[in-house]
Amino acid sequence: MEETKKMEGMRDEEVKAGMRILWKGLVIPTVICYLLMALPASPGGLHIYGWGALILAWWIVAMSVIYNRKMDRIQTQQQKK
Amino acid sequence: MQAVQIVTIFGYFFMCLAIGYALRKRGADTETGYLVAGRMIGPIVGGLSMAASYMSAAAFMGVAGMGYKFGLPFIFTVVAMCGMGFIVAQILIATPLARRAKDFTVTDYLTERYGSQFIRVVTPIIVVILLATYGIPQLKASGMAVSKIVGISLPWAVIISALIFVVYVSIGGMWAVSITDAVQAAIMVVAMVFLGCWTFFVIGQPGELLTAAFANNKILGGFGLPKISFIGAGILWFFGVVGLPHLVMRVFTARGEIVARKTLLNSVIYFNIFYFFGVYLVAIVGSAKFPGLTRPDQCVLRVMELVHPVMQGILTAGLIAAVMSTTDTLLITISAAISNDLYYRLINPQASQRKVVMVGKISVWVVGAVVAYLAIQEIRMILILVGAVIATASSTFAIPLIFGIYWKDATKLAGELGVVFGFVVCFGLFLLKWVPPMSEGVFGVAASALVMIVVTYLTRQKLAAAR
Repeated sequence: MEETKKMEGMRDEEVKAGMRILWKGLVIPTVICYLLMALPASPGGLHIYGWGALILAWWIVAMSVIYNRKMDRIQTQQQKK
Repeated sequence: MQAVQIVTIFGYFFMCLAIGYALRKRGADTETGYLVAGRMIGPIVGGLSMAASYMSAAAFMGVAGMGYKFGLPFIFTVVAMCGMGFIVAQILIATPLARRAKDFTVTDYLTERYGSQFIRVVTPIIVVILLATYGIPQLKASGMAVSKIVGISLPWAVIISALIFVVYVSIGGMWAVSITDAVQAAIMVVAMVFLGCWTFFVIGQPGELLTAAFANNKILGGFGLPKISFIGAGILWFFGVVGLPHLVMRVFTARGEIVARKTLLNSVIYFNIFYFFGVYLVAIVGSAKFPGLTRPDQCVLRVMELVHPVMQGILTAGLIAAVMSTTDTLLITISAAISNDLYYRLINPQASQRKVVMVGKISVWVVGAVVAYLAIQEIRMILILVGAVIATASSTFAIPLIFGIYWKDATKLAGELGVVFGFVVCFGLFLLKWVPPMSEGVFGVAASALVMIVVTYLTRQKLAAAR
């Protein structure tokens, strides 16, 4: 129970940071990427959706790094408090 | 060539056994040591071993073939959506689960969260059935590779492979599984990246290869499947990371929540390197040099013919590594389901740590024997069911897990029905074939979520009225 309370006490800031990355950094780019399927363009022989998915895969790595740093910063601030 | 491959494979088997033997004391006596490596795995080993557990023989051989057959956008969909699964697990699951110092398995978390004995009984049974089924083709693939290279019959090759897995998993537990998987992931990534880069940049001319590949294989740049299947496959791979019990269990092995998050970050990085600098280039080289393959899964094997025999030996080790890293993780997860979830928590809560570990070790031997027996048999139905395993496991566990963590109001009955509906709907659709291929998991996940929302709403009101 103690553990749960502690977890919930830390939740708000962490969840907010996570949700921001989740929606703005992941869901919106993924939807845009899948919408590219509807376009006929194939620059360089590869369909534009393929280019979109390729960029999305590396974008996800960048988001993962940013999320980690953000969480580290939040936890450092909490420890100082 | 054959001598090089034989030496490589036996050297490799010896290394796995040696790692298991060297780590025998760390996982010998305590449940924490045996099932979750004392919660002491760091981010590099954890990241490599998690990536290795998800990259099975299908990832090593199959995805390049799928790129060849269904187009490069298919490979990019696989990588992007697996990466999405890893980062969503990092955001939603890693921190809360890594803070739970008493849990060993998904069942532990779900049972405590929903306060349900029903989940305590049903979940480990589903885990054992699904993961044992998943292990059959893995063991068969390992047996086939050993049989072809060493020149022994398939049954003996399967028995030898199974014996190697069972010995090092039962001796070293999760410690041995994590360290061997990390080594296996490193071999897989290095071998595949070498194959891709060497054949693309050194043997061929990149510009000419690309022109030839797109000219020979008209599907390469486009869609070789209906577009809805790209969406279904993406969702399937995404929930595969979030909901598969043997991947979630890796979070419990991490040395704290920060390490758990970094483990998942590292997995995404290894994953992207493996696919973009290896598999993707192999699919292009295969399309340019070997057009018109009737079996696209032969793409990697044909491209392997372009490199030196010693390198072919290392690539064969990479293939076996892909099989082994998945199978040993499955075995330790099944062992945890039997020894911790069923025996310790249900049958004999007074059992000593040593006894629980002993039950875990015995279950590895028994399950290993059953899986090896089934791998030797020609049971076509099992091969059909295997396709259902990832989607069914994801449909069964992902939503109850995420809702359990983030939705305080989710009730006990909702959790129980979420597990049951996710399993029944997804598995039923696989058998009935009512929906397009690779989209069954989407319906399973949706059913699980819908049932949990509706039941929580209904039972929450009743509970409030009763109070």
